[in-house]
Amino acid sequence: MNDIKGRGAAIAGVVVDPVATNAELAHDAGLAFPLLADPDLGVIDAYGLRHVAGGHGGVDIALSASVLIDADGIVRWVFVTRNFRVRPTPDDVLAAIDALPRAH
Amino acid sequence: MRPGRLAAMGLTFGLVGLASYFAVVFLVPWLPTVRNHAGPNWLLIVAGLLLSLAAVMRATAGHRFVPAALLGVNLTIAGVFATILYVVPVVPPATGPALGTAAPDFTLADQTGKPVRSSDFRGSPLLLVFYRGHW
Repeated sequence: MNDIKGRGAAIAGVVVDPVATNAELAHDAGLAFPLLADPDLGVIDAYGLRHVAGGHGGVDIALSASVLIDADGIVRWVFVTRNFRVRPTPDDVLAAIDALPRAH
Repeated sequence: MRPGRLAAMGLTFGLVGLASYFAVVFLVPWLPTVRNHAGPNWLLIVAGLLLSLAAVMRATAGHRFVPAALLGVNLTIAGVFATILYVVPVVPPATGPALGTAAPDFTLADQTGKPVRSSDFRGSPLLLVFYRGHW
């Protein structure tokens, strides 16, 4: 994470859980970035990442995914797989950041 | 090697292969490729299965029940591991947002309740991580 921030990139998480749940998690996990609540899945839908009935009790949640947005707000790299155990490695993320075009 | 010892080694390999995967996932943050592919864990489990099979083949008539039972346990371990890795976490296909397009704007509350806007991040790259949630 320090490597990511060291490259001048910000990190933010998006999750369907409400602010109160995120506050507890962020505190317990010592999160160093904002965790954004999207309970009606508006943003999750805008990014095409809804997982219908993926949560406990058949609730819709987000697919596990990472989206790298450049300094101008353009989507440059997306990591989403068919298996939520497979995640991008730190090297995957850093390589994507290093491949970004310079901001205008 | 005596069949009894082969069988015990086989089961040990299988159990270690399975348990160490979860140790890596939950306790150790620095082996992301193991989490993704579980290569070393499968090596242990397959080695365990081969040892168990050797134990059954070495056992003499009338002494096959215990090695066979332990081979069965090892097969179950392999089946459970495969299910946990390849069946349970499968999700529907999605491509996410199109590359080269403008990332959709958002205004969402962070964990302190403060609204955070996508425009707040303009001027620097942003890694937006979507979590399944329902922790």
